[in-house]
Parts: sequence; C-alpha cells; structure tokens
Amino acid sequence: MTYQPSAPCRALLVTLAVATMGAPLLTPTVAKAKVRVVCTIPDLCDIASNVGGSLVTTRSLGKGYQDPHFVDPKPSFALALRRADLLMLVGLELEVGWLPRLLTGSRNSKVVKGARGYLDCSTLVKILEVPATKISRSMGDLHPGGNPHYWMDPRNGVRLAFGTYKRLAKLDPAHRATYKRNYKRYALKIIRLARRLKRLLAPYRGYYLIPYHQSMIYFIKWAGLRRLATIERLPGVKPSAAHLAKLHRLIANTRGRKIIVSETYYPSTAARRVASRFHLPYIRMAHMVGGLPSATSYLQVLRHNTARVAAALAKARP
Amino acid sequence: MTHQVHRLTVPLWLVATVALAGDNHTALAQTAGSPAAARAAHPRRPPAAARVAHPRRPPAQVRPQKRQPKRNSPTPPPQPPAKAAPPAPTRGAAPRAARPGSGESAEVSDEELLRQIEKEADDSSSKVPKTQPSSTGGRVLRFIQSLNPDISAIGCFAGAYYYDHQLEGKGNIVPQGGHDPGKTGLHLQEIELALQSAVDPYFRMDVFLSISPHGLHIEEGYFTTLGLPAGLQLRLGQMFARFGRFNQAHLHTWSFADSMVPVTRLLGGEGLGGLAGEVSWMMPLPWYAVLSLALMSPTAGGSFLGEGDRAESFHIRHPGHLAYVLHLAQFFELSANTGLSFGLSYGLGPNNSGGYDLNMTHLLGADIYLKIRNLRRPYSDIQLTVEGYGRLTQVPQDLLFDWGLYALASFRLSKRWWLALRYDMVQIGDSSALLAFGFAEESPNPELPLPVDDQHRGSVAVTFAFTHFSQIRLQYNNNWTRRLDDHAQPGAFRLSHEVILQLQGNIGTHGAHPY
Repeated sequence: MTYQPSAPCRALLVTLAVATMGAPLLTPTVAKAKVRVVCTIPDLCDIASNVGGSLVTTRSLGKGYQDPHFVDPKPSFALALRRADLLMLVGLELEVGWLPRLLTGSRNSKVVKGARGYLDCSTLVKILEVPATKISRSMGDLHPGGNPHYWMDPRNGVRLAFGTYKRLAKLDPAHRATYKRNYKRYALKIIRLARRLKRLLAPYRGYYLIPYHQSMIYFIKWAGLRRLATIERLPGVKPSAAHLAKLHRLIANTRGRKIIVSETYYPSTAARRVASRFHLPYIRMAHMVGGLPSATSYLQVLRHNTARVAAALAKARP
Repeated sequence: MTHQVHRLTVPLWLVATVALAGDNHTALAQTAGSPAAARAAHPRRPPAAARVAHPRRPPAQVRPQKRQPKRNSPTPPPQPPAKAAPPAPTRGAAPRAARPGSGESAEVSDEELLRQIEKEADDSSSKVPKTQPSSTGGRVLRFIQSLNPDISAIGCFAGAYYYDHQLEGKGNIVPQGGHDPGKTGLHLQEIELALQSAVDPYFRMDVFLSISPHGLHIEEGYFTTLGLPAGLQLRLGQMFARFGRFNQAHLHTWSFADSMVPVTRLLGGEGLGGLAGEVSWMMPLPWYAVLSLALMSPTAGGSFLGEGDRAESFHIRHPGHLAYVLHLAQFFELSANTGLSFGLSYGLGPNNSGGYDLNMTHLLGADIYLKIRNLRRPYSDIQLTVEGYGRLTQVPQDLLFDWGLYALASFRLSKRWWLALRYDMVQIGDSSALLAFGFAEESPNPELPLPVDDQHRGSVAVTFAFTHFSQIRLQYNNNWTRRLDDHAQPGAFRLSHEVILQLQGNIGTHGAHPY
C-alpha cells in the first residue's frame, strides 16, 4: 500500500513549511536605534531612562500602584520582552510568581538569566534582612535572598544608577561617555536630594514607623527611624485579631512618636483601625513611581515619602 | 578568604554609608564607647520590654548595615529622638562622616561620595559575590545557592458526596476526568511534584509528576528551547497539547475541583496530552500572536487511538499515523486593567475504527478569555472564559459529530475569597454508533455499566485561600446526565447532586502559571 497524504495532512505540512521558512523574512530587520529596556517596576525604568537619556526606550511591566509580587503575566509582556535588549528586574524572588514564564515565552536569548541583557538589580545594592536561619513558609512569604524592597533607600538608588550605567555601557559601548555623563548628573541629584531629605527627617530620628508590610525597612534604616512592628502578622499573611491585640499592647507600652504607614496597594482597613485606636497619624506611601499621583519619578517618590513621613511624625503625639 | 575580602571592602563601604547617612552615624560613633553616655543621650529610649517583646520581629536576622566598633553593650544604643536641634548645614554642604578606624570625621563632597560608591561597587563586583551578606547570612546563601532545580509539591485532597435518588445509593453514573473525585468518599486527587530549571543556555526542562492512588505517572516532562531565532520555540517531550486553555491547565490552577465535561469526554480523561514535538512561532505582529504545531503520538488523548490494546499494537508507518495539533493564541491588552485572549485549535489523528486505513478524528476548538482586574484594587478581579469543542469522528460509512462547551465566570471577592460559576455540557451525536466502534464511555459504576450520552452540568464553587499557598474549596454540581438504555437508545435525563470539599497546599518554589 502506498501512502497518499490526506488533504488536511498536506495542508498542515505546507503550513509548517511556510511558517518555518518564511519566519526570518517576516521578522523586522530595522537597524537598532535605541537600547530597549524592559523593567519589572517603574522605578528601575525611571533610573534607566535618566542614565540612558534619549539613547534608550523603557517599558515597565508592573505599574507603580500595583503589588509587584502579583503582577499578571500577560502575554503582551512576553512580546515586550521579545523585543528587549535589557531586562532590569528587582530579583530576590520578588517576581518569581510571574516573570520566569514570560522570559521563557519571550524566546529572547538576549535577556535570559546569565545573558548580558539580564540585569538582576539586587546584585547592585546592599540587601537587608537576609535570613540567618533556614526559612519556611510558616514564617510567612519570606524571600530567601533578603528583603527585595531596596530601592526605597536613596543610597541604593545611586548604586542602581551606577550598575545601570555600567550595563548600558557594556551593551552599547559607542555611547559609553554619554551614559557616564548622564549617570554622574543623576547620581549627584540623588545624593543632593538625599542630603536635603535627611535634614528634614533629622528631628525625628529614632521614632517609630509601623508599616503594613515589610517593604519599608530600607527607607526606615536610611531615615534613621525604627520599625516597631508590622500590621501584617507575617509577610503576606493578614493580621489576625490576636496579632492586632499584641500590636495594641506594644504600641501602648512603647514611648516615642509612632506613625502607621502602608503602601498604596495594600488594604488600609487594619492599618486605619490601629491608627484610629491610638490616635496615631496614618499615611500612605508611594512604594514605587506612580504609586501616588504626585510620585512621578524616583526622585519624587523619595521627596514625597520623606515629606509625608516628616509631616506625620511632626503631628504625632510625643 | 571571605573575611579578608570583607576587611578590604567594608571600610570604603562604611565611609559611603556613613557619609550619606549624615551626622546620624557620627552621633552613634561618639556614644559607642560608653553605655552610660548612650543612655544619657537617649532620654526617650523605649522601655526594654518594647525592644525585647517584639511580636513581629521577623525570623530573618537583619544583616548588619555596618560594622560597629567593639562595645561593652551587647545591643547598639538606639538613635536618640534628637532633642537638640539638628545642625542646619547650608544646601550642598558636606555632612560629617566618620573616617574609618580613626573615629574622626571628615568633610566629604558629593563628588567624593559618588567616587567612593563607585569604587565600592567596582570592588564588590570584582572581589566578592554580589549580595554577599554577613558571615551568618553567607552560610544561608551558600545553602540556597545550588544547582538544584526549583522543586515543589502541590497536594490536592478532596471529599465528595454524590446523591442520585433514582440510583438508590448505588453511586453515580457520571464519567469523570482523571483527577476527579469519582464517587462518594475521600480522595487523594493528586500530589503534583514539579521540577523546573534551565538545562543550559539553550534549553530548560519542566517535569510534572502526578502521584495518586493509581500510581505515579508523568503528567508533563518536556524540554523548551530558550533562544531560537525569529521567534521560534521548540518543545519536546510529554506534554499537554496547546488545544484551548483548559487542556493545558493543571489541577491546582482550576477554579473547580473537577475537570470540564467537554474536555473529559471529547479530548480524554486527562485531556489531550502525550509524547510530542511542538514548534511555535511568535508572529511579528503588533499584538501577541503565537502559532504552534505539535506532532503527537497517536495514543495522545481519548479521541485518537487511546491507550488500549489496539494502541499498543499500532505501529506508526507513515506521517499520517501521527496526531497533529495546530493552535493559534492571540492576546489583546485592551487597557492596563483588561486583557482579552482568543484562541483557535485544530487536532487531527487516526482513530480506533479503521485499522491502518486511516479513519481520522478531527478536533476543533475555540476559546475566548476576558480578565478584568483593577490594578489599583489588587484583590478583586473578574475572569470570563468560554471554550467550545467539536469532534468529527470518521467511522466506516459515516462521520459522527459531537460537541460541547463550557462557560466559566470567576470572581475574586477579596484577598482571600473567590466565587466561581460554571456551566458545561456535551452533546453526543450518535452514542450507539460510538458504542459500536468502541468510543463511547462506560459509566464508572459497575452496577450500571451502560454508556452515558449527553450531559449538562451547572456548578458553583467558593474558595477561601489561607495564604497564597493553601486554600480550601466547597463546590456543588447539579449534574444532568442520560445514558443509553438496553436498546442502545438515549434514555431520559436524570439529576445527580454532587458536593465536593477540596483542600490544596503548595510547598516549595513552583513556576509561574500562564495568564
């Protein structure tokens, strides 16, 4: 018996052949004009666009008002990654729930882990709260590599800018001098702003912040403040009644000014309840660029958060 | 070695940190030697109880930000709530910084500070692994840093109760998917063991083993290429075919505790999956569009050769004896809050009715999925899915057509609560003909073995998530089924009520799920 492929079979084989051979012809081959940077959070994009200037285009996958732990892995993000020259991610497993699949789906070898276009920004900065013992999820949703919310410390902002400049210079050596110039200008801006903000916070050194999640520790350390506790029982675990009772006792027994803060994307009910119970000021902080309408850039985020915290601490009962 | 490196790098780093932090650290350095002085300088120091009885002190030990000079006090004195007015340096003036080792302070300009940070970054990148923490943390990082793949286990346990008053306690007659709790009682639906990692810069491998009372089987296990040019990607191994949305989803991602009727009855008890090689192409279009073609073993799924004796004795003699699955997936980001995906699927493969004469089964599928999620309110979303399936079965002197669909609406009500509604159905064209060629499904109930025919089902499920990693689900099915009578004619529809309670838990690092 000789085999005669049926009509559907023939159609399938022809489709496959066209798809395989025609692909390179259909792929755009426009000369690369700009370095395409894709970031997981808008703050990294803001830093990259300040360092890269007009030589880069940036796109952030997550929004500033969105919880960066739980971004939807939209297929359109895979499309953005497909065209990316540089991926900047926070790292420390902040994006573990959504980014790896997008990376595989992007089919872009330039941005896979280990490639030049893959910049894990946690390797550029100082990491806090690195677990000293083996962790388990009974301790909450902890990050084994340390606390990933490091961009809220301006010192780390400078380090991020430096690392971004280095990586851009590697990817696009022809414009190294421009990147360096931009980076210097931007880093000095951060340093000057940080000094001004530190002076604003100086009268409140040693006072307490009670954040909703553990994402404030970098800001707290930099600002010379202290964290009394978190509203969450454990990272990622809603506060229980018992935890809130404990928190009430702790607040009542601790002297010093205290304020309650939460990121814009966390529910404010519990935080507000604690704040009203003890007549503590409650503020929402922009965790990222775009977290609040006034937080339009990384520098604005720093400025905005510091101003809010300083104003709230000034209002807090001594 | 590590300590030597630390000694080299820390002073520079300390300079930078201290300088940026301003006079805060100078004060610390000045009071460091004398606890009494520290107390005097900290009139508002909180009571000891506040420092010790810290309910939310994270189990993670905070990595020391800087190396302190040796002191008598075991804990560093907290920063004073600065009674004295802070020095008010003029704009741009250099703050005071501690000079490491000497305890003196020095003026550091902005540029100098920047140079120090750069030098420190360069040093750390060339000498020590980045994010090298203190020695304690280092031990843990070394523990984490291994070449093991991401390993996770997800357990799904269920208790089910079926009630059909006409059966007088003889159980249910409803055919079930591979993981469904098929009768009244307790069930281990599955423990899924997932191993996922990059193989090398060219491939990654994902293995999903399913462990249940029926034994261990490979649910999926495939290689994926990472960097083929022109938007191409290959997958090779055991996999669920890209045929619609639900067929690719694993049990723990479902909104219900059981499978969809049309998938179970038209594609196979565990969907359409098997050994395959698949090429997919991300088309160079302004929107996301991926076209894929899989060449599969003809034993894949339940509508082709299946897994019986017939399949075992079947030998592939030419390409027409393979099964083919073609799929087009498209996604449109209508806004930041709204995404719409749309898919078309086609499957082709030999069936059981024709020996080597190539009687073929054609599978058709279309799916649409809409997700509305207000990103400013992360704990609420709406997901709507509709999938339709058709099956054309070529048998001697006839072509049989069966079809089915499901419509699913899932609502996230709050951080922990979900509500899901579902309607799914299957319409069998000619059950008696399917029965004659061995395609019709038998009832799972040995006392009522006659094959089932059409089926309609309405379901509601409420899910409560304790955390992101565990959840409990209560589900009710209102299931209308009819079976063939003794004369192989469809009988009347009969209703059965089903209640399922399911518990799910996840340990380890599990890969991300698709949109």
